[in-house]
Amino acid sequence: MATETMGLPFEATSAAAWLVWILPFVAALIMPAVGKASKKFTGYVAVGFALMSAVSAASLLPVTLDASEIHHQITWIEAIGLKGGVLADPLSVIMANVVGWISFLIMIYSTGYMKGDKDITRFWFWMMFFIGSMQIIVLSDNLLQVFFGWEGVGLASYALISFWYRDKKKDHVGTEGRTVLGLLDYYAPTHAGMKAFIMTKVGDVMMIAGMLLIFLFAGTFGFKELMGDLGWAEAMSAQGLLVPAFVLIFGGAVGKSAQFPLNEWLLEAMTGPTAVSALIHAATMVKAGVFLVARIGPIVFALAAAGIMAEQFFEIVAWVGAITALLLATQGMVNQEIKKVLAYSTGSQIGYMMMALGVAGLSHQYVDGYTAGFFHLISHAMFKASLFMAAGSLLHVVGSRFMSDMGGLRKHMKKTYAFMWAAGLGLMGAPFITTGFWSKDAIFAAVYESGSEWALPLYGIAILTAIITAFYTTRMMGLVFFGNKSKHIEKMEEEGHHVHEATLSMWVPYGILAVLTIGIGLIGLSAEENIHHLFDEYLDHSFGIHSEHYENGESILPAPLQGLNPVALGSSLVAFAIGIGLGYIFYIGRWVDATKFVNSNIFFYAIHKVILNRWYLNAIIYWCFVVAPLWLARAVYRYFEKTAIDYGMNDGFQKAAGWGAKVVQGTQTGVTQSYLFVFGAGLLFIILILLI
Amino acid sequence: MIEISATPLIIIAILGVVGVLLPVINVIRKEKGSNSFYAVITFAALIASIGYVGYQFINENVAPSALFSEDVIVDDAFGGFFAIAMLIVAIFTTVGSFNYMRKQNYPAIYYSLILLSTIGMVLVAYSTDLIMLFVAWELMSIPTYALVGFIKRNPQSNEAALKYFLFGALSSAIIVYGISITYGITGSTNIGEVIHGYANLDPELLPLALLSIGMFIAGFGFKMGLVPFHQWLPDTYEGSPPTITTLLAAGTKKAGFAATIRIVVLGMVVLNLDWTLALGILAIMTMTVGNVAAIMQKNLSRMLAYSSIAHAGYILIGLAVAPHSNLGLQGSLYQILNHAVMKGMAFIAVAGIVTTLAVTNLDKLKGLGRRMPITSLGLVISLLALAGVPPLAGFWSKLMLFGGALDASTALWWAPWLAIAGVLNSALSLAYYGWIMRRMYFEGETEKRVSEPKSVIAVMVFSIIFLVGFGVYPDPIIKFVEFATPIVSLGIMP
Amino acid sequence: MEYALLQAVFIPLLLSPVAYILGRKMGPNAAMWFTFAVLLYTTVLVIQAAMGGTTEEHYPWTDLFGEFGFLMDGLASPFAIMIYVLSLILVLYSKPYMIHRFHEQFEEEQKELQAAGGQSTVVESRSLTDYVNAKSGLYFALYLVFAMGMLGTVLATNLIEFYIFFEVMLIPGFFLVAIWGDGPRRKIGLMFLFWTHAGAVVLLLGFLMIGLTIGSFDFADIRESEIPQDIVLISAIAIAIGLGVKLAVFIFHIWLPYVHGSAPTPISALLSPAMIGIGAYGIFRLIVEFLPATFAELSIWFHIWGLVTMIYGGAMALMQDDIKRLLAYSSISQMGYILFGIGSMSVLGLAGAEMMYVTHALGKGILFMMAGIIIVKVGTRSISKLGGLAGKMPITAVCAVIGALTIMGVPPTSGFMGEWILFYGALETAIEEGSTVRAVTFGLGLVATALTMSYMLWMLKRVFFGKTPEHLENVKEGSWYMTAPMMVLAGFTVVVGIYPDIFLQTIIPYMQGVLGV
Repeated sequence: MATETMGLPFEATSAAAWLVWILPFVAALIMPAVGKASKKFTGYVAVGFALMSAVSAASLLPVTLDASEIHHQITWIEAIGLKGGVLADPLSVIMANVVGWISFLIMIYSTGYMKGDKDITRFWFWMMFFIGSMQIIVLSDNLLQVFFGWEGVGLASYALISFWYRDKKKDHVGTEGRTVLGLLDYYAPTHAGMKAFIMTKVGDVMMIAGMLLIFLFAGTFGFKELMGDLGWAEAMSAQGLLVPAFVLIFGGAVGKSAQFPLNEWLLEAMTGPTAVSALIHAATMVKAGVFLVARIGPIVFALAAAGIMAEQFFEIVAWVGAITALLLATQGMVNQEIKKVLAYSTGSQIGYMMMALGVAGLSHQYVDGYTAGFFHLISHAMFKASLFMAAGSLLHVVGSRFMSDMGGLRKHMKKTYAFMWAAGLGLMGAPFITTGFWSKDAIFAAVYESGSEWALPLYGIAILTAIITAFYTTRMMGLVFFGNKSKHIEKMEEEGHHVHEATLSMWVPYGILAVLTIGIGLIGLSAEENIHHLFDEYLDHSFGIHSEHYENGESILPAPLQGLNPVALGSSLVAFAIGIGLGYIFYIGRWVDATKFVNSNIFFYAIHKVILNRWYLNAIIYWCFVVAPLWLARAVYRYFEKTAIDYGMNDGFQKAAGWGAKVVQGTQTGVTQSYLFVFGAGLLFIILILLI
Repeated sequence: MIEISATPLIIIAILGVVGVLLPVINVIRKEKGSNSFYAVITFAALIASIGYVGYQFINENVAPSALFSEDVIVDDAFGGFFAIAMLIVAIFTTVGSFNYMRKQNYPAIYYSLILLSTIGMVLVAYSTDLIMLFVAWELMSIPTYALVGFIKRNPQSNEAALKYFLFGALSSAIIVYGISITYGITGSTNIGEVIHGYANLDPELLPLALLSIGMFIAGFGFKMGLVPFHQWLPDTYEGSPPTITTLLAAGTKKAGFAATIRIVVLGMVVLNLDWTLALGILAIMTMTVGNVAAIMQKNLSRMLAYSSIAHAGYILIGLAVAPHSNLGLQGSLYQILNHAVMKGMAFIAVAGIVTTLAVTNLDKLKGLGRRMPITSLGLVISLLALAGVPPLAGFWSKLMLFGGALDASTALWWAPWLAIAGVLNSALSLAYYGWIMRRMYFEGETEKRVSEPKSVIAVMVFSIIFLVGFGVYPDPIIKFVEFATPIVSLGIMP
Repeated sequence: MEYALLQAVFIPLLLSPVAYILGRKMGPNAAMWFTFAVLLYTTVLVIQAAMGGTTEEHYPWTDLFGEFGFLMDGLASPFAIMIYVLSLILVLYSKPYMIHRFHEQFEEEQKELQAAGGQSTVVESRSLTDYVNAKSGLYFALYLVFAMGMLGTVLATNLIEFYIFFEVMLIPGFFLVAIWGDGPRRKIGLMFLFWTHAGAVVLLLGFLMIGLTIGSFDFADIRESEIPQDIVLISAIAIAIGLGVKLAVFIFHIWLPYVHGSAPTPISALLSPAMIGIGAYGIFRLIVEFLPATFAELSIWFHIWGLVTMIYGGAMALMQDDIKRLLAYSSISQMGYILFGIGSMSVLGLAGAEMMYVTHALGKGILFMMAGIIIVKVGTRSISKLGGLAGKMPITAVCAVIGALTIMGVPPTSGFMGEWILFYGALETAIEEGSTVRAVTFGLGLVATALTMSYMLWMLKRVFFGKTPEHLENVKEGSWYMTAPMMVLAGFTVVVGIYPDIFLQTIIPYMQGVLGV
């Protein structure tokens, strides 16, 4: 046991760092036993352990104050000299708190949302497993251990997405009977879980390849050790393997964070219970990719200081983020299912974060982009968790996932209505009052100021995406809360169901988060500045990355203007205005009928159709990687395995032997004369051999 | 001059006296059908003989292998080895006949013929003179002609006897022809002197000498069942009484090998070694044809007959590579001993089945494992041993044979192919052995047990112990074989 | 402990008749617990020996072919432990499964009897109890011999001894398949006997060539340098082909789906994870360790052969409807992984390949047991007739998922530990040699893991999830005899996954020694 504690007066915190992820696993492990004893009790256990984990994470917060770290290692695989451990530095502590507290709220929400489900024990098991795995990713000090958590969240998402494994009709996503390029756009939970697991596995495969490459040269998986001696990077760079290795690791992030082109699993992931969606989208799975890039990005950037350039890595990250942001945002505009709209929005927002982290590496002010991306991660975690939970309430109340089955709900669900507006404004980036605004603005600024050759196109995409984001959020609000009640609701009311507000345990969690979105938004600028400062010291301390804004720890720019770029600010405001305005026209004011508008023009119609069909990306992926390989495998099975090999080597052999036996036995006529003839011929034959 | 206590002489004395006395006793007793009485006498005589052979070995009175003497016979380990193998077969035959002959006539003559034939077989192995060898050969063969057709009202048996006799006569003629050529070239019939003669051979006479080898191979090849001299064999084995088939397959066949080793391998080793290739080709042909033909057989005896042809092929591998590898001939001898036990036991099992159930057709053997468990177990063990599955004794001899072939590969380019062919053939053979097992054990599971002949059980138990025991711990037999195997090398001179 | 390994190998053999008699006289319970006790004792012996480091025992045998010895070193101990642990656990599992099978067969025979009517000789119908007793005695006796044959093979120290044990495990296997298999069991039993015997004799040729050239068959005397180049190459190829049949690698794999599909499930669960992997042990011991130079030459071909096998097996597994056949093809694919790792020719690649054996033993053992429970409880093995079983048999479902994760190589199961080490080894050699071929095979190998995942998840989906067909409404969970062994293995795979040092501690030093690192 090697203990190494730095910079902190109290050593007990290293235990806290372990506990953050061990506690959820303990909860998961005891869950079956608790479930046997009392199903009701499982919820309290889960919430309790989630709280304990979050408190442990909070107890680590002092680490961030002086940009120090806790690094504690134990021997893991002695045979190949591998160590495991926890690394609590500002990055991971902040992330651990975001994950811990949001998960805690989602757990509370789940006690209401999942009430009465007969498989509740299984639900809690996987939720706790999910949180634990995510905290492993956050707090591990080496890539291999990260990968344990990485696959753990993959596994948990598989289990939770297909939680309702009986494939009832109401648990599907997509529209029944609708096809795209001949493939059904209608997914059962079990299919969706499998799709998520396999698609992210593609990313994981890339990630492990990248990890192994680095391990090959560095001989370690540890983040700290990697920064120790940079000889490995030079060697890799010399062989041209450095960028591929990091890009491969980024491939893992692409898979987990549902970035282009591995984005398609995220939509079907909506088959899971909404609490799960909230967890996946706000706190755990998709954030894991962003976190990973935040983990390894500084290393790549720090290498540049040592003269080992790997800029292409950041370009790829930025572009993948930008493409995803736009691609998924467009699809959010047309979808009819509320959870899918939110899912598209998540992918798109994650794209923003990736773009920021990528752009960070392309500029000299690494910390700007880094802060922007991470700040957006935090604010997104809050408002998206809130939105998802609120959407879950809607689903609960209305009993349908289609927005066309809702409408006019603002009178019946006032709290939800208010909180959704608050969180929705965060998503749209409503100026000055929401965290979303500040974090998004920071991203715009970082992109705009980066000075990279790609800055302008990326900036354009970012603004366009912002417009679309504001539009589809407004659309969602309009469709759900405004207008007349849908036929579905009217029918429900006729049948005696009353549309009412969700229970306390459900609305409180998303209420808290919605309030926080606005609350932190009000002090957004200083919050950002604090994070900026924190990361600045952290990057300086851990990676030796200096920022130009600071000298000797003192800011050389006047505080209020930090991060505020007039161009970015202006375009952000304009984008918000255009987006919400258009949304208002179509869906709140309902001055123009959207359907008629789309059908009015062949051009709009075509675009609408392409977007509705998910840019045909999903269908193409299915054709290339599911349908075609299956067809090929079937052909090989039928025409090679069953015929050439099986028949050839089993039946064919048997037949050939039988045939040979018949031929040989044919000579055995039973006629003595012929025997004598053969005998004589044999004698001659032998003599010939001998004489020749 | 050979001593009066030499093994071959004692064996001749014991078996000859008993063999001649049996009919006399029969005439004196004037009664028929007391089969057991004669069987016991025969059995005692054979046990006494084998005991004496064993006694001689244990007291180390036996000369090392294949020392050629000026006498017509020599008391060496090689002959002793074969004597043991032949006597085991004769004992099997006799014990099997306890049961089989119960319902047949003329038991005294039957056993007398067996004994006389046994003398012949044993003497073949001990002979060091061509004439002596030929006399022994005929002494062995002629009683078996009678034995094959012993069941006089069975046309199949008679046809078998006729074919057998016809080919036997032909092969004898060929052997005599070969002997006469040899005598003509070397002026002697003593094998030791023949070697001498060939060593200093006038090159112009070489073709003639080779011709004599061809004659010998063909003549003895008939008994060994080599392809293409094998065709009488399935018909005869199928037609003759199963006990006699035991004697033929496990016994007289081995005498053919003994003769071939004495004359061709040892006697002709100084000649041009082209005959090794001839034997090699015959070996491959024999095992392949034997195994392939066995695959689709419907009749158990016939299948075993073909298997016995195939085994002649394996044994021949060792002979073919003998000049270049000691392991080869050791393997052959070992395989001869094993085959005597394995095939002997298999045919005795058939005899047991025939007497109790009166069937040999494979389709009618369904559920045999339930009807006659011990016989079936014996049969299965013998089949697995024949296939060379470890840890049964049959594995070791095959191992040494194939090893010998590979060992000789430095001198003979084609030798590895013998090993490859042998290996593939033994894999192939498992297909039909497995077929028999399948019939016996995995079909007709509702059959009821019948009582098995005690004599057959005795043979089975003995053989199982032999095959498994020496399979697990083969060292004694390997040592014995090494002792009994003549050292053949290119430099050998008397 | 003196004679520990000798006891471990031969006690099951010597006591197998006792198991037979116990079964006959006292019924399946007595036979099962007796077998369990015997294997428990021997398993403890094996584990003790493994923990004590390298253990050797030598006994005189034949002068010509060398001595009879046992060697438990870093290579053999994981194999030996897995073989006996699986055998031990599956004894418990066997009882309910085989009694179910005996009942089925008894009914079949009764029907046959009735159909035969008066034609056949009058046969008293034996009572069911007698029938089950007799059969279970036979089953457990054969089972013991089977286990002993496998252990003997991995402990042998002599080429001929190796070969003998290699064949000894075949014979009880043949009987077990041919007597209690499903479908055309007799034909498949023969196919098994024939194919593996054919492979074995080719192997024997290679052994003979090596043994005769150096004049000894003892492992200790084998020196590659003493063998001429051409002979060593040919014998290495012969050995590789012979073992390839046992490993069921591509082209030689065709017997395996039949045999594993048909064998009684506890035996499938032994055949598939424990037995066919012994082919890998053979390659390690005979080629990697004894013929290193030749191995260096051949390794790239092993690599490619392994890759083809893993992709091919996986693709064929996608096409199966019979659950056991699917698992059989999956085994082929997994053997491809092992061969792939062997071909990587680096310490971690080889260590990973051996870890894959352990992993596959655990994972596939669980999955076959799952198949057995379904066969017993549902009565069908056709995947298309299954669905939604997770609610009906939760323990089975959970264990099956863990087993599938092990095969897929998802942490924290042992599968991941095997896989990453293995692929790391492949990558290491690719980079060090700068070989494009190896780089490509490495990439394709990783892609194959996604394929593995696809067929496994699809299988789970079709069996355990989705709608429950009506005829499955009354399905119950398997008995504790069946589920407890699965749970033990499931626990084991997680423990090894988190703490792989249990095996790596012995494997890695051995591999380093072999490769001279």
